[in-house]
Amino acid sequence: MTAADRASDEGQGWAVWLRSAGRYIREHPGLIVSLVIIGSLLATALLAPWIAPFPNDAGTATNLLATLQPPGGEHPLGTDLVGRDVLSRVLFGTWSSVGTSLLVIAASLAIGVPIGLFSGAVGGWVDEILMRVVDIFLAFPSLLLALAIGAALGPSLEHAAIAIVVAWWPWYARLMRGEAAAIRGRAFIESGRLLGLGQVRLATRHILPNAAGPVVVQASLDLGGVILTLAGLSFLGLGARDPVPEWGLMVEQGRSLFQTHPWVAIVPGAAIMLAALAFTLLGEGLRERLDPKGATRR
Amino acid sequence: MNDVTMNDTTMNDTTINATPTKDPVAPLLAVRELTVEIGGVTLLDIDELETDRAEIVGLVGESGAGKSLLQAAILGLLPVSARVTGSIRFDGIEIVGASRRTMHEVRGGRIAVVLQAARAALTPTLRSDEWIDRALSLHDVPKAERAVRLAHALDAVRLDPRLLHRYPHQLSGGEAQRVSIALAVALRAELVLADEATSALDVTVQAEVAELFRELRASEGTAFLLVSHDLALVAGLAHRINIIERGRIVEHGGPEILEHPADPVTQALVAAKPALPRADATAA
Repeated sequence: MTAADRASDEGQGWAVWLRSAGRYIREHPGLIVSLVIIGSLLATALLAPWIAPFPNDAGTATNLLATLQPPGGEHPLGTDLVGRDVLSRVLFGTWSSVGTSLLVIAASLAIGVPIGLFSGAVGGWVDEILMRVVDIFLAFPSLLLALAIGAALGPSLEHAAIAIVVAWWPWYARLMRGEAAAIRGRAFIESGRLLGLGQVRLATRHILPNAAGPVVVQASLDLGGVILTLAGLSFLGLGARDPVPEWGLMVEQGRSLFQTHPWVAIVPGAAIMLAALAFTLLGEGLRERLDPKGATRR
Repeated sequence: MNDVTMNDTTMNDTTINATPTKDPVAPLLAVRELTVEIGGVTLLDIDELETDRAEIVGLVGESGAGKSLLQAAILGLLPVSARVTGSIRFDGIEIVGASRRTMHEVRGGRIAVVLQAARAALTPTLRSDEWIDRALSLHDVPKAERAVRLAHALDAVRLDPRLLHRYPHQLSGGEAQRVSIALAVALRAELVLADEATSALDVTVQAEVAELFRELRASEGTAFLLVSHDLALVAGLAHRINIIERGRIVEHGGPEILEHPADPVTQALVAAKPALPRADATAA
């Protein structure tokens, strides 16, 4: 009450900020919920060594005297087949799963965005050639392509990540190219050219900032998909190897125990779901703000 | 006021005064026997088109008559597939076949452009002050000087400096057009190509922008090439008028040509404007 009074008296200050923040939360619940979850995930990824009850269990440690303990007591979420604390492994797994997925998206953007921007901004035969290359990549089902690359390179978390990047970047190249080509026809690009701006500056300073919205939205929507794909590859034995605490791998390890000791698979499974959901909500929230016309695919 | 070096020895009058220079030897812009051919079709065939310093010249024609193509040619921005013969000289600099470096100096810097869609011509993600600042830096205006030039330009176009902190979508069409014109002033452009610069504005704002052109000609010595289909605007502003049709100048002369049009195209353009105000050569 006092805060509201002060705000109406002064017409500014933290109370106003608080009220507008409140309104924002009411208007964009999905965005806020997702930001809270993602914030916690990032905090977890960074703080895992300090907050995990058994940090050594994320590594090579085993405890054969306490295998498959049910949730409760010393192990709030139970232990797995070799006695490792499931909570600790899921906390450490945040970095392996979410962190790796963020890197995968970042790498895909780093490859796809410049290619798409160049292609769309220059146009002509350069555009044709680049987009045919992209088409070739897109002609393969991306999961199969990732599977093949993962199989060829040998199973490891890094190789799975590389495989996903190879399968993923063409989407960004194509989306970016379409946006850039549309922006290129706008009057302010014409006026930039008439002002004497060169191609590079036009592309990076004038086309990119105005074309980035849908790409950002798509990337955040894709994060959930990448987390799932990465977990899927690990589940299939093409990604992370034991003892890396990767969520997909942990689900796979709990698969045979599901009837008798469900927590071993359910806990990392729930973590995957939560992370994928959070990023999808984030993407939807960003879409409303950055790409109201819906250029991005669902 | 005119701090650009004159690299043309034939230029005998380097001072700018408010009256158009009538020296036929050294017009600011001289287009001679220019032809532009794209895909085997001759789209422009212009014997002569001149603009003196501090002169307002009108180029009037209907859509597709070649107005935009002529502008692109003057700025050296014709498509690579275009075959060009003849000559376009700006202050003695040959633009047809000019090097990149030469064009960088001329385009945007000494020849500025004001487009029809004022707001759409400004990059949506840049505030107006950023936009102007970047354009000045692109044309090698030292940082210390930019603020001075900008202040002068804002004064010249009577634009509230507070508007500069806005993004294009927060400006009205007339304000956005003033931002574009302020940039031309800040760049100390000697020639402004005004491409239908008032067509998208409502009538009162049109009159304000037209008045602004007149003032800038007098105060800054800026020459204007008004490219338009709006005969009334051109008749009220221009010292000389060129009527273009199918890539050719079919009639040219003072505003009086509109009172007794000789060419059928001009007659048609005049007839299409029943409320044409009396053309007045001394209006400026």
